Amino acid sequence: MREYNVVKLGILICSASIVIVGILYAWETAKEKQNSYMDNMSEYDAETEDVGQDFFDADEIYLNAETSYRVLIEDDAQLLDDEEEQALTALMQEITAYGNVAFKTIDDNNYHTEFYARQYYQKQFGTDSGTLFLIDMDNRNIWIHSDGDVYTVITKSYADTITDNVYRYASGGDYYDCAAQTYDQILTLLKGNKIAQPMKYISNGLLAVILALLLNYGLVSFFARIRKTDRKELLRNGRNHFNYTQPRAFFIRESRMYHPTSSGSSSGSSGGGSSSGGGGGSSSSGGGGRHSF
Amino acid sequence: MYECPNCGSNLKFDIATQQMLCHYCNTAVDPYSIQNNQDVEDNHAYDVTVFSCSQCGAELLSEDTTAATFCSFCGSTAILNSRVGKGCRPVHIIPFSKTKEDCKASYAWMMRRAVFAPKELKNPEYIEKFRGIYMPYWVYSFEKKEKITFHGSQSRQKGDYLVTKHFDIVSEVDASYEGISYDAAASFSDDLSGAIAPYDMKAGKPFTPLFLSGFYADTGDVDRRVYESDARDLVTEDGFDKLANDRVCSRYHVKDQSNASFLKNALRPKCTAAESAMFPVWFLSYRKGDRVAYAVVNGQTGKAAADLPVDRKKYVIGSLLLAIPLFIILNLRSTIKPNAALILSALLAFVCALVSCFQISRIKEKETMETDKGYVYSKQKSNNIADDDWVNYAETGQRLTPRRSGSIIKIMQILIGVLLFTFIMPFVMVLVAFSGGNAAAVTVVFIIFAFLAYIISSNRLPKYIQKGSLKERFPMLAKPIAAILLAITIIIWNPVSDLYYYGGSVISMSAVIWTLMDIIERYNVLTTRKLPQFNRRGGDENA
Repeated sequence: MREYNVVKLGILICSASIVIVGILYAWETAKEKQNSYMDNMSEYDAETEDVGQDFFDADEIYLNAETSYRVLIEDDAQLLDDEEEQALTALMQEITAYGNVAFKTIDDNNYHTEFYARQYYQKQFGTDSGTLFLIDMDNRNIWIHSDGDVYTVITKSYADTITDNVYRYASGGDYYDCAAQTYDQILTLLKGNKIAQPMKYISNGLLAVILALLLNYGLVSFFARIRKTDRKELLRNGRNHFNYTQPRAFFIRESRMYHPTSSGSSSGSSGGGSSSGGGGGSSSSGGGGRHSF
Repeated sequence: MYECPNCGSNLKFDIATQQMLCHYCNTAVDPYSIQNNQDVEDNHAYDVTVFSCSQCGAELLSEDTTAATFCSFCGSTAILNSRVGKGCRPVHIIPFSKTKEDCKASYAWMMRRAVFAPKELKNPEYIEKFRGIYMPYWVYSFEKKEKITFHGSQSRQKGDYLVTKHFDIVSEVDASYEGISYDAAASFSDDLSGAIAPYDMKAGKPFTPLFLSGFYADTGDVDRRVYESDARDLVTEDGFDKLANDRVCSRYHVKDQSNASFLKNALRPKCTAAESAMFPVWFLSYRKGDRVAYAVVNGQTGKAAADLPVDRKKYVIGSLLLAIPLFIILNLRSTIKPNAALILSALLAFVCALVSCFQISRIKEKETMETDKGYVYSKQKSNNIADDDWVNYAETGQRLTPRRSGSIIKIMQILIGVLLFTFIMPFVMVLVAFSGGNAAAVTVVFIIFAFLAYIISSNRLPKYIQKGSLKERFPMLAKPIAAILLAITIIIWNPVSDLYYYGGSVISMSAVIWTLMDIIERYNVLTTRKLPQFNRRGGDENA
């Protein structure tokens, strides 16, 4: 029995260590991701300074005279023909009532899609209201990035939903339909209408049922439990008394045990912290959602 | 049967007046006055009708010769066999002071929180079956009148040394506890009797069989020594709390772990008496298939306790109703991304596996009734286990039969657990790390595998599974584990199409819902009892 318990204890310690290692690994991964993002950012800033504004030059197809919002299309990956570009422009024009709108395709990208989309948007529109739909052929990702007033409607959650709804077109090579559907759904939301979110409702429905079942189980287990009467109540009704005389203490002996107050010395580290400054700082309140295809 | 001195009809004990009452001429008679006239019995026994249940072997004693139409313990509706026998005369009795109406009111008050209880449990016809039963109890008295010496200490840091001064603390204790009661019937489970305790022995009276008139009584079959150590511990803890919190004792850290045992040992009182008594209990049983649930109400205080199973239909409807606002809140809050839905379903399956694990452990404990001292004693007695063994059990709580250890199944479980850790988990870790899985997914996989390895290598599962029928043997954790494995597979695979993610999470969540339904079924096993089987040979032999 004792041996069995030792093995069990060993396994428990092993599980605990592996869980800790797992969490540390996850932490490290997240940290690496963050570092890589910061590295990307510096490289990107340097690169864009080197190549100048031409790096992000895009064709301005349309300018809404009333709102001053623009339509930009830059099909570097050559995914659309002229006819499709015209049709898409017509669709995108309607969005300029709410903000800028851009369509960008790339077939070579050394950065994360999100990072590229954010930087591209910032270079083109700054922090103005608007939305960008990016097709990154290098990373096989589609991305919607929004900012300003448009972002209050096309939130990260909705961007995810839209990309979920349209990624199949991109997977099938039908990039025009993919973009057209995206702008159509963005416009629908900006007009205050609803778009289809079937999986959201199915997932939330199942999740709600599970949570309700678990919650009710917790309630039932708590309230229907048979509770033992506590000690004080058990003794309350008896004919009981407990009296004692004032306790007196008599010294017997003294013992000493080695017990150092502090077991380590403080260690400090000094050195140069790293801070990146200069160049174009980026600040954006916007965000978006993605889907790989 | 006791005759009315006025009209000669049957006298029964009347709770409201606490007198023997004739229901024909309303003559009220003091129970002890009748006893004085009719008491021709010896001091140890009294004549009684013994009803025994042919199905479970339970016995009920009554002063009434009218046939009993159902068994209170197994719920059997067959007319019980009756014979004239001798009841062992207890020293005390606390007469019923709560009427059946009071009892029903207490029961109804308790049932208000049982919203998912089967409707039969609230049916007035069913509640009408509450039966007044005098349950046998042992009433213990303890005394401690002596000078005691225990240990105290004071410590302080001096340089790199901890200097401790040790003291002997002396005090004169004068303690007396009377009326500490524990049920003495194996048929009355410790959890139920513990829940409706205490009884106030100040209302106790010298026993006379007249109080039984109109009621039933159970037979005592548990030796006085079985609960003596429990009662002594209770009293010792009380004395410890009082003395250890004294100003002087606090100064010398008497409550510290290293000193506490000295005081507890010094305070252990002497048992001065263990007297048999009969206490009033309103008793009700609910039988469904091969399971039975009990409801009991303290006949003196009205305190109620019951096994409360759940009606699955009510539970599902209640949960669906609760799901509506949760669904609205979830929709307002966020959109769950496909991979998040999958991870969430795996985590929920993990929670279900955890709940199942604890449930199985508790079911095993309850089905074997290994924590019910009275039942264990009675069972061991019928198996002719030596007295010394069960006294040891009563005092230490150690099992009478040695736990099986080192079986092949256990070794296999440990091996599977080790295998999971040493080979499969690192393999999964590498796959997840190189397949584009994110940090959250890696963490989830780690935690889930750690848990799986633990439950597989744990000894909690197999015993119950081994004992069950083929249906029960089907691994209870198969569904949540399948859901977790499915989720992990898709996370590792990392397909482009959302359909796999959503399909996987829908299947996984459905498995979780299925598991939750199993959990409710097991909850009903947990809140009911297997049909009792008593090995009694007569109510007059044991108590």
